[in-house]
This record gives sequence, C-alpha cells and structure tokens, in this order.
Amino acid sequence: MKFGIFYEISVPRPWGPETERQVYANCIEQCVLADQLGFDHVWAVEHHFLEEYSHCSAPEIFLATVAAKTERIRVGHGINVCVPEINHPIRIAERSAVLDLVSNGRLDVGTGRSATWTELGGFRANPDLTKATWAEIVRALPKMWMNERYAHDGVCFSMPERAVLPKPYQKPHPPMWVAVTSPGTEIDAAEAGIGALGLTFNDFAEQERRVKAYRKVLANCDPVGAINDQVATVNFLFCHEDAKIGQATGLRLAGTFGYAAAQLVSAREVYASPSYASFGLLPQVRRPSAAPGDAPAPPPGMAVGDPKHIIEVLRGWESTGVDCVNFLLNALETVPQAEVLDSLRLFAKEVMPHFKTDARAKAAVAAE
Amino acid sequence: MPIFGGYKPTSDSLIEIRELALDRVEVEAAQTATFTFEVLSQAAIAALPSALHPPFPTYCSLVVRRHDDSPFGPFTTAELRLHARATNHYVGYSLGGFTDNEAACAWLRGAYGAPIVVAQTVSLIRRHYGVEANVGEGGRSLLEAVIETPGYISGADVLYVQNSNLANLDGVPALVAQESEYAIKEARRGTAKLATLDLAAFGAPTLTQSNLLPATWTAGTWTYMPVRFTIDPNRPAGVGTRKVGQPAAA
Repeated sequence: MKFGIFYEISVPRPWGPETERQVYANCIEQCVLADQLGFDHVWAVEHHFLEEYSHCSAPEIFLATVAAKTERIRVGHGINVCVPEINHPIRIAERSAVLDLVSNGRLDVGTGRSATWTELGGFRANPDLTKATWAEIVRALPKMWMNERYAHDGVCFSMPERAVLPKPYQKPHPPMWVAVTSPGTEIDAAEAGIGALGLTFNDFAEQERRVKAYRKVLANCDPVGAINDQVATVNFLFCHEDAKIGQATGLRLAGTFGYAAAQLVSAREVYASPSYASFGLLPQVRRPSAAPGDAPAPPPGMAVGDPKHIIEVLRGWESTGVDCVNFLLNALETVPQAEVLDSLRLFAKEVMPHFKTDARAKAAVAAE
Repeated sequence: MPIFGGYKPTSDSLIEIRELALDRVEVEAAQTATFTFEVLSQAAIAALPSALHPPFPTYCSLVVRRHDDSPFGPFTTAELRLHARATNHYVGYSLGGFTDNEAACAWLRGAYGAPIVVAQTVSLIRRHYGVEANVGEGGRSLLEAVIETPGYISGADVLYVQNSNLANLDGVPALVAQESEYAIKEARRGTAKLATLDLAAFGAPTLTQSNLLPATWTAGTWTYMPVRFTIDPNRPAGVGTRKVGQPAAA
C-alpha cells in the first residue's frame, strides 16, 4: 500500500495580502516533511475560479517547487484538465515533460475534465463535449512524448507534424491516471490502460466492486501508451495519540471540506447533460444531512483518530484492492499547521510501518 | 468561511404565513421549463438573506411550471429564484413571481410564503418550434421566453433545487423550505431565448443578467411537500434552522 498527500490548496477568507502566500508555504512545508517521512506521492489539483475551495490553478509550478525541495517523493499533476479551452493538449505534453525532467523522473500525469460550471463556463467550454475531448487528448499525449514528431487531425484539436519538446525523462513516458468521480470512469481508465485516481469517498464494498471491474477490463484494454495498473483512493488524514481528539479534529476537517465543496456550482447543477451524472466529491459528504442544521454523517472509512484505528481503517481499504490512499490534510486551514505536521509524523511512525512497500523499506534501510 | 448574503430582512411587508403546508399535494400532469442565467455577483450577494451563502458564479433560475390539474384547478406559475446555499444545501431563494389562478396563489403564499401574485397571463405552451413561456400584466409583457428546438435528454440529467421563501411566520421573518418530489417522464434541453424579462417585476430590480445557459423542459408528476424546516434569515443556517414542530434553537 502506498500513501500520498493530496492538495486542493483551499484558502479561507478573509484574504489578506499574506493569506495565499502562507497557505502555499504551509503546503510546501508539509510536502518536504512528507518526503522525509516516506510518503510516496504529492498530488496537486488543477482548478480555476473556485473561491476558497481551491486556489491551485497552476499546479505544475507548485509541483516544480516541491520537486526542487525534495529528493524522493513523486509529484502528481492531479489532474490536467483535458479540455482544449482550458489547456491545449500540446501544452499539457510540454509542461509535463519539463516537470518530469526537473523532478528527475518523479512525475505522475493525471488527466480529467473538470466537474464545475464555474470552471467550464468560465472558459466557455461545452460540458457535453468534455468526455470526448478527454478521450481524444489522453490518447494523443503518449504519442507526443514517444514519437520524435507527431501530427494530429482530430475532433477537438489538430496539428501538423511537429516535434513536441522536450521529451519526458521517464521512458516511455510518466505513469498516466484519470480522475474518477463519476461512476463508470474507472472503466474508462481501464479501457485506456491508465491508473484510476479515485476522488470520491466510496464505502468498502463499492470500492472493492470498482477495483474488480477495473482489473477485469484492464486485462483486455487498448492502452493509450505504457500501462499503469494502479488504483488510488482519497481519504482524510488526521492522526493523534488521543483517539477522541483525532476523531474530532478529523471530522472538523472533513466537515469543512464538505462545506467548502458545497459552495461550488457543479456542471450537473445548472447544465443538464448526460456527460455529468455525478456531483463529484460533494455527495459523499452531503448526502446524510437532512436539513441545514443537521451535522452530516462522516464518510465511511475515514483515516482519522488514533494510530490503532487508522491502521484498521487502512487495512479495510487495502482489502478492497486499492494500491494507494491519498490523504487530504487540511481544508480552509481549519487544522493549525503544527498539528498537521505532528499528524504526519505520528502517522509515519506508528501507521506506515504496518504497510511496507519496497520503496519505503529501501528508504528505511538507507536512513539507518 | 464562505461569505454570507448581505440582506437582513425584518417582518415588515413580508407575506404572512397562514398555516405552513402540512399535506402533500400531488399534480400528475406538470410541465416545467427552467431558464438559467448568471447574474453579476455584487448585487446578488447584497440581495441574499444573511443566512445563506452565494455560490460562484451567482446565478438565477426562472422556473415556469404548468399544472394541468390540481386541487385548485389548472394553474401556471413563473418564479424567479436566486440560487444559494443553506450550509451545504442547495436552495433557490425566491425573489418573485406570478400565477394565473387566485386559489393557487393564496395557497402558495399562505402555506409556503411564495412571493407570487396573480397576473393576467401566465402560460407555458409547447409549439412546433419549441416551448414558449409568457407572463403578461396590464397589457405589458413581463416575460417572453422560448426554448428553441429542444432535444431529448434523460430525466435523470435534470436537477431541481428546492425553493426557499422569505415570509412572515408568527410575526418574525423566516425562510420557509418549499420542497418538492418529482418524477420526470420526458425531458428536453434546448437553446434559451429571453426576448423579455422584466427583472424588477420579478422582484429583482438590482440584478443584472449575464451568461444565459441552455434551458430545460420536463413533463411528469410534481408533488408539493409539507414544510419540514424553516431558517432564521438573519443567522447562519447552520444554527438558525428549526424543524417544524420543534422549538426554536437558543
């Protein structure tokens, strides 16, 4: 089982001159510590216009900074929005290759298509078309990286033959993923032979069903490039020696995240389209609340509490067949930075040793 | 923390609730046309009660619903809502609207606090080229809207957000949750055309329409539900929500 940390980079109001800078500094400090502690991935989203919820519109710059300050941890662009109005596919290929080079081959390339009207409408993108543009772009990217020169005549973009430069450091190319929020996208991931970067809080049974379906389809896939057969899921993390403090802080973190997520205008809310059958991250944290004054029930299997509880929870996720759990550490800075760092340290000391990977075993030996 | 609306209402001039809706009212043959458009944010935030959060972009929906049968006889409503969040709940804050049936108007006002009045013409009609919605009063057109060449979509693709109506409940202002259940039998989506929309007549004199989205039309059953909760408009909904039949929070 691998462990990652996952950033929306949410910035609480009021926004003073230092607020955004401080939040970015906190995130970078967490990444540097996570690298030292043996976490496997740092993921950063690409979002635009999402007030408070995510001020992470240029994750490649954030991740390049993280890469420059760390030695081992992989950096994941989670995700590149594969909508031409937002990112031209050539620019995705170029930026990814540069990030892979400057990180010495530590890049994972996430792909996706955005789930909010705030973003799609802001770029005047048509929500009906995003699934198709994603499918076209995700097949073009590996060819841009692997072929000396590349030409494309498609539906969402075309280009005459050119050398897309530079080429990534990892060969044949960095591992590719797709963000999985809508039910069934894990099948799209499997059909393309790329990793399923889960971004919803399923229960154990639903996660197991999705992993099985993914693996079954992957066995007969038409890969876009090099196969990445990993399934990742997302979770909250707050680890504390005192189970009650851990639970209470973790629930506050999850509640704050859900509250912020609810303020977004999803594509599904305003633009009736078969392309958006799901709200994305929101329903899992919103569903159990019957009225505005009711506290929503926490999503199942949250990694919050004391180390013993978190080990049990992660054993549950491991049994579903997921390869990696990515953790949200904070939301709107509701958890003070010192507590976030202490939570990471305690997790690494008490929980991680129960889930060894080859990379972590080597890192431990090297540290000794 | 998400920002709150800037409007702090008093009970003055608000619609008085006679008796909160306690029973379900089901309409078997209902058609609903929804026109959605963004509005400039500064005035929208100012117009929202301070219990609610504005989403971004701020947007409105103009909902025209035709009921071919009901306990009040046939009637059609046209309502303008400014969308918001009550904690993490989606709500459409009702700004104003019209209906063509006096009995239905009295019921919607007295049981739900819906800020609607009777107009001479309120209609929703399917034409060969699309769906047409109109509101007229005193020889003046207040709404002329068309959904052009609507194509079929799945009913599952359409989401209806519940109304939140500002009213005078027992002498104090309250946001009344006007909730519905629906079963969609046919759904279509097409290009929206708003030839006339008198925002001031619909209770939104300060709002400025911007980005117009595709519109939807559906047919099916529509059930008006009993009121489950109300919200103090001047307190955050997380602490100002009161379930009907339970005492107010301290």
